[in-house]
Amino acid sequence: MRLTSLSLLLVIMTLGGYSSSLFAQTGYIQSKLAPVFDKPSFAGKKIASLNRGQQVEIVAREKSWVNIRFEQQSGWVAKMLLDNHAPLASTQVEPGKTENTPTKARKRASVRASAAATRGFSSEFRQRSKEPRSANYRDLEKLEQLKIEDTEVREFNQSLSN
Amino acid sequence: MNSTRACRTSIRRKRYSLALIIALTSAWVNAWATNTDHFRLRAHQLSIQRYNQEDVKTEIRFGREVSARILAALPLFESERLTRYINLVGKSLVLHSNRSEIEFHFAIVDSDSVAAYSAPGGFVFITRGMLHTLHNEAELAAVLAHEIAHVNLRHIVRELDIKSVEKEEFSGLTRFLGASGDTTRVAFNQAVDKAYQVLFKNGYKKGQELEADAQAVTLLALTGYNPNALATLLQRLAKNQDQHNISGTTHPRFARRTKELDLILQSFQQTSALNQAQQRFLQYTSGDKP
Repeated sequence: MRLTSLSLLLVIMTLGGYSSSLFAQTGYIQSKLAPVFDKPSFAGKKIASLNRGQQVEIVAREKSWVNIRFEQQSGWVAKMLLDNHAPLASTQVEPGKTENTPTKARKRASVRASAAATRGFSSEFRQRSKEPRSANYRDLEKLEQLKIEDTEVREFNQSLSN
Repeated sequence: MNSTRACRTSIRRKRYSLALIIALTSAWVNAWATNTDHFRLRAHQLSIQRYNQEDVKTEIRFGREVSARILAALPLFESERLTRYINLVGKSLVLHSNRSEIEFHFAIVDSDSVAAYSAPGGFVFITRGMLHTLHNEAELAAVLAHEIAHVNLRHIVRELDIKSVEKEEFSGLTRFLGASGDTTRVAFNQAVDKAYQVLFKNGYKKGQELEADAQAVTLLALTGYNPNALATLLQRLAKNQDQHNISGTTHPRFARRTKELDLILQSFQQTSALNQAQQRFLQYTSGDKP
C-alpha cells in the first residue's frame, strides 16, 4: 500500500516535470514571409520560409527568438513575427473618402489651432503651412493609386540574395 | 482496539491526502513556472495588440488625414521611377513585418531637410534631402524600416488612443468619425493636429524612437539587408550634422541612438546578411537625381 502510494506520488511529480507539453502553445505567423533558421541567430542557416497565418507549435523561447515545430520540422523564428492568434484580414479604406468636410466652425477653430500648432516649427514649415489646416488630398490619392503586385515585391527581395 | 485501528487509518488517510496535495501542487507550480514565459509573452502582446479590424480601419482613416496634412506642407517629389523604387524597398521590408493587415504606401516629399515621417495606417514619407545623403539601398531600407516600425508599434495610435467605437461607448477617436456635428469635427482635427505635432515638433518619446530603431534592425536582417546600415547612417549624420539640414530636435541624440544600436547589434552576432545593394541603389538614383 505504502509502495503504491509512493509510486503514485512519483508518477504525479514526473508528470509535473513534463506538464509543459500538456500546455503546448500554438502560435500563428503574422508576416507574409517568415524566415526560419536552424539556430536563434541571423547567422544561422535559413531552413524554411513560412507564410502568413501558418499555425506552429511553440517549443521554447530564447531572447528575441522562438523555437517552433511545423510540418514535422523545427527551427527558430523571430519573436516579432509570431502571435497567439491568427493575423487580421487585410484591411483597406476606400481612397477618395475623407473625414473632413469644411464647415464654418471648423475654419474658425482651425485658425486658432493652426497658429498654435505651427509655433516652434521651422520657417520652411510655417511658410508651407500658410493655409490653416490645409490638406493635400490630391497627392494623397496619387500615392495610394500606386499599386505593386506582391510577386514583383518578392522577386525584388529575392534578387537581394542573388 | 477497533478505535485505535480506525484512528491509525484516519491518520494514514490524512498523510496520503497531504502527500497527494504536495505532489499535485509541485506539478502545477512546475507547469506554471514553465508557462510563465508564455503568459508574459501573451500579456505583452495583448497590451500592444489589443485591436481588431475596426480599429485598423479607424487607424487608416486617421492616418490618411494626417498624411494629407503632411503633403500640404511637403508636396510629393514627382518621380515615378524613384517612387516605384522606394516602394519596392519599403514593401520588401513590409513582407517581413508583423502588421501584414495594412497596405503600406511610400512616397518622396519635396524638402531639403534630412528627415522621414510615418503616419498611422502605413503612410511613410522620406524627404528628397534624406535620399541625397544615402549611400546604398541598405541605408534607404534602414530609414524606411525605422518608420515602418513606428507604424507597427502603433506609437501615435496608442498615444492618442485611436480605436474603434465598438469597444467602449466614448473611447478613442472613432466616435468622431462619421459623426456630423461641427464639434466632433473640430475634436477630430485637434487629434490630427496632435499627431502632426508629434511628427514635426515634439517628436516621439525617446523610448519610442529607440524601440523603433530596435525593430528596424530586426526588419533589416529579416529582409536580407545589412543590419548595421542604420547605425552607419546615424554615425555619418551625427558627424555631418552641421552640414545637413537635419531635424535633430524630434529624436534622441545620435550618440544615444548609436550606443543603443551597438548593444542590439552585438546580439545579432555575425550575420550573413551584409547586403548593401549599392549597385541597384545607384542605378535607380542616378537617373532622377533627387
